[in-house]
Amino acid sequence: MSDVCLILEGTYPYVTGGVSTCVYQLIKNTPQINYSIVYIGAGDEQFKEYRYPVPDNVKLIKEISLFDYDIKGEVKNLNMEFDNELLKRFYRSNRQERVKLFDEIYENIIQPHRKDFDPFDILQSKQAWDFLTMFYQQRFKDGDGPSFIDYFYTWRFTHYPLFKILTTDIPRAKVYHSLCTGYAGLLGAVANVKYSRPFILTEHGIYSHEREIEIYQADWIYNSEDDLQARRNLSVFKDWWIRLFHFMSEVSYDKAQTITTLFEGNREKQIRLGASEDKIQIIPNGIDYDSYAGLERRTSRDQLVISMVGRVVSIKDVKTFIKSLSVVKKKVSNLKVYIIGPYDEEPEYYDECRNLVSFYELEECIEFTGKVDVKDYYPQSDLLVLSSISEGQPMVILEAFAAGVPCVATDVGACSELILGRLEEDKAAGSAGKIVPFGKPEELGEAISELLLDQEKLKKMGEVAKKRASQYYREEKTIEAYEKLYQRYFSGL
Amino acid sequence: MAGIGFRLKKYFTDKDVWTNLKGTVYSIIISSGPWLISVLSVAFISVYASRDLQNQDIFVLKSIICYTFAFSLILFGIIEMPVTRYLADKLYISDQSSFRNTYLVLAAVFIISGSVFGSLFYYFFDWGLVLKLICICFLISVLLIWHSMVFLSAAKNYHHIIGSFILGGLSSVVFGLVLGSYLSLIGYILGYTIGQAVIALLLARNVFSEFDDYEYVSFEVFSYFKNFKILIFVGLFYYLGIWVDKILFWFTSVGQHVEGLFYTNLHYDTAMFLAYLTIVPSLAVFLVQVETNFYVKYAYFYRSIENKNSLPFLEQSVDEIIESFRSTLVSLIKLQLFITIICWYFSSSIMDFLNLPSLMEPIFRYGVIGAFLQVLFLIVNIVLLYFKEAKPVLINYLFFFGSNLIFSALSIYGGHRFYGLGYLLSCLFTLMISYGFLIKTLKNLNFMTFMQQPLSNKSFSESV
Repeated sequence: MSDVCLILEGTYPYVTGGVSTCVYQLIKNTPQINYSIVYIGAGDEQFKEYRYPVPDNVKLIKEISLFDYDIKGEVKNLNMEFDNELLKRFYRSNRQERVKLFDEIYENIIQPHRKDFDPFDILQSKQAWDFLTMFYQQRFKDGDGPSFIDYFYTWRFTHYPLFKILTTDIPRAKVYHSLCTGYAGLLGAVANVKYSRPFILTEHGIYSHEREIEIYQADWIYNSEDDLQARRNLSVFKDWWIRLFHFMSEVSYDKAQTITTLFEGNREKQIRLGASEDKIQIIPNGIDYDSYAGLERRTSRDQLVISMVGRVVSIKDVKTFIKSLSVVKKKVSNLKVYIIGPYDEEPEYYDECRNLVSFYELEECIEFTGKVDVKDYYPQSDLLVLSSISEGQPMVILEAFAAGVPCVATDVGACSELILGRLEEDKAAGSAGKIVPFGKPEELGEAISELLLDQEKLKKMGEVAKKRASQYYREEKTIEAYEKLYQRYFSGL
Repeated sequence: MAGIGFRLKKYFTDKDVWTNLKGTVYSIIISSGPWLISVLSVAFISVYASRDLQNQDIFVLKSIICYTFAFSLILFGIIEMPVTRYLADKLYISDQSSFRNTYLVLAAVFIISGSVFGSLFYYFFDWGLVLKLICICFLISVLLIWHSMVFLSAAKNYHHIIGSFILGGLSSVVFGLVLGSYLSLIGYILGYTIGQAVIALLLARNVFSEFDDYEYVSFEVFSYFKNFKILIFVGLFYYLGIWVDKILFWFTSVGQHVEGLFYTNLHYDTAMFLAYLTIVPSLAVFLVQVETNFYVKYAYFYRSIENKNSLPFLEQSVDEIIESFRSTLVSLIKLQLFITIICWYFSSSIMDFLNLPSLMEPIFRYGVIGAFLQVLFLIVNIVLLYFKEAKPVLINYLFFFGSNLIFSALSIYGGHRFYGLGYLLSCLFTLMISYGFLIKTLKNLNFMTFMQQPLSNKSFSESV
C-alpha cells in the first residue's frame, strides 16, 4: 500500500503544464513518501511518452482510458430491476439532493452488483433503454423532443466514462489526492467511499468552469441548420454535459476532507459551486526562489524596460498591452518593450498584434522575442506587465518578484493578491506593483507610466516584491504545506 | 435482391395492362428464373425423352438433374449470404471496383469445388469418362448460374439476364432433343448441359459488362466468411431444409435405387416441384413489393435517425414499417391463397392434364399448402435479415431443417396418405416461430437499432 495515491487527469507524466510541474516537484521533493498514481487519459496514451522523469518513490502508475471501449453491441439481460424512482429523482434533482442521491445509487446499484456482472452490462440492458426512453418521453412531452440519436449518444458518451470511473479498481493508499475535480475528483470520491480513506482535492483552475467555457464555445455536440429547433436542441445537450461536469465537481467537493486551491478568487468560486467553506485551504504555488533572486539587476537610467511574459495568444490580451503602450510612449521617451513568449500558437492573433504595433508606430521600441529564457530579461527589466483577461496564479509574476521586478497586472485570478498581498500582515508590507481592470488600455497605460516615471516608488516596490516571493511563495513552502496535510491524515489513521 | 425490384417498379405505376404484364413477367423471371427454367426444361425434356429413352435412362437423366440442382444449391447456400452481405456493403458505399475480381475469385472456388465434389460423387458410378465429365460440367455450370445471380441481383440490365435464361433454356431443350435423338441418354445430358453452360456464360458476360475491371485481385470477401460465420449457416440450412424431405424420400425404404448412388422416389419429388410452381407469382409480387413499399419505409426509418429526429418520430416510422409489412403480407396472402385454393381444388384435374399418376395428388395437395407457408416464412426471414437479425433466422432455418427431417420421416412411417404432410407441418411451425421473431424484432426495433450499435474507441474519438 502506498502512502499517497495521486489521481491525475490529463497531466503528469504525459502532458506538460502547471499542474504537471507541481506534481513533479511535489513527488521529487518528498522522497520519504511512497506514491501511486492513477492517470486518467483519453485513451491515446500508448502513443505518448513521459514528459517528466518518474522518481523512484512512485511505486505504481495505473492508467485509465476514459474513452477506450470495445463493446460489441450485444444486449445484456440483467437479472435485476433498477430502482427507477431513485434514478428518476437523481436525474431531476438539484445540487444538494444530487450528491446525496449519488451515495444511494452507488451503494444500491453500482457497488453491490460488481461481483455478479460487468457493470457495463447495465448500459447495454433493456432496463437502461426503457429508462432512457421513459425519461425522454416524460421530459419532452409535447412531442417535439430533441434529436434522439444525439440524446442516445450523449447518454452513452456521458455515462460510459462515468461507469468506468465508478467501477475501476483503485490502488490501496493511506491518502487519496486528486489534482482536479472532474473524473479524477470522482475517482477520489469513490476511493473515499469504498476504502474509507481520506481524500484531498486540489484544484488549480476551476474544472467545471473551464469545461463550461469549452462546451459553450464548442460546436461538436450538436450542430445543424441554424434554426430555432436546432439551437434549442443544442442547448439541451450542452446543458447535459455541463450538468455532468458540475455533478462530478459537487461529488468531489462533498467527499473531500480537505480542498485546496491556489488563491482567494478560486476559493470563492468553489464555495459558489457547492464546496463547504471550512474545508478549503489555500496553498499557493511556489517558485524556485533562489535561482531568480540571485540574478543581478542591470537596469539603467537611459532606457526604461518593460517585459511582458506569456504566449502571444488572445487570452493574454496582448493587444490591450500594445494599445496601452501608445499612451506610455507619449510620456516616456526612452522606452524598450520585450514581449517574451512563443508566438506560433495563434498565428493570426500574432499578425494582428504586429499590425497594431505598426499602426501605433511602435516598431522602434517593441520586440517580440519568441521563446527565450526569461532569466536573460528580468535583470534589465524595470517592470513586468500582464494584461490577461484570465489567469490562475501566474508564476511569471512570482519569478519577476524574486528577481526584484514589480508588476502591473489586470485584476484577474491571483494577480491582485500577489501584487497587493493576501493575508493581513502580507498586505501591510505594501504593494509590489499596481492592479488595473482588464481590457482598459488607457488605465493600463497610465499605471505603467506612473510607475516608470517614479523610480523611487519602483525601487521600493521591487523590494516588496522580492520579500513577498521569499516569504510566501517559495517552492519549499508549497511542498511543506502538502506534506503537512498528508502527515495530518496519515497520523489520523 | 437489392435494387432490381425498385427498377421493376416503373412497370407497375402505369395503368396500362401490357406494361403491367411485362412487369409481371420480368418479376417472375428475376425472382424465380433459374428455378423455373430448370423445372420447365426438365419437364419438357422428360416428356420428350420418354420417346427415345428406356424408363431406366429417364430415371438416370432425372436423377442427374435433380441431384445436381440439390447439391449445387446446398453448396451455393454456404456462400450465398456472406457474399450477398459483402456486395450490399460495397454497394452502400458505392464501391463496385472489386466486384469483377471477387466474382472471378469465387467462380474459381466454385469450379474447383464443383470438380472435386463431382469427381468424388461420380467415382461411384460405372460410367464412361465422357459422361462423367459432362455431368461435372453440368454441376459447374449450374453452380456458376447461382453464383452469377448473386452479383446480378443489383444489375441494371435485367433485360439481358432474362434474355440469357430464355436463350439458355431454349438451347437446353433444342440441344437436348437433337443430341438425344442421336446419342440417347448421353446426348440428352450433353444437350441439357450445353444449354446450362450457355446460361452460365451469358450471365458471366452480363457480370463483366456490369462491373468494370480495376486490375487488382481482392480477397476481401473472404473476411466476410470469418466475420459473418452465422450467415454461412443461414444459407446452408435453408437449402438443406428445402431438400431434406426429398432426400429422405429418395433414400429410405419408400425410395428406389436407380444406379450407383442415385436413388429416387416415383412420386414425391415431382409432386413437390409441381407444388413449388404455385408460389412463383408470390415470389414475383414480393420482389417488387418489398423493394418499393417495404424498403422505402425501412430506409426512411434509418434516415430519420440520421436526420436527428425525435423519439416519437422514430416510433412512428417503426409503425409505418410494420404497417407496410403487414399490407405487403396481406396482399400476398390474398393472391397466394387464391392460387393455392384453385390448385388444391383442381388438383385431380391438374394431375390428369399433366398425365401424372393419381398417387401424386395427395402429395401435391399438401405440397401447395406447404409451399404457401414456405413462401411466407421465407419472406419473414428475408425481412429479418434486412434488420440484420441473422441469429433468429438461423434458429428458424435450423428448426425448418430439423422439423422437416423429423416430420417427413414420421410421414414416411405413417404411410402413403401422410406423404407431404410432414413438409407442410414443418413449414407451418417454422412460419409460426419466424413470425414470432419478426414481431419481437419490429417491436424492439428502436431498442435494437440503438443498443446494438457497437461502442469503440473510434466512435468516441470521432465525437469527443
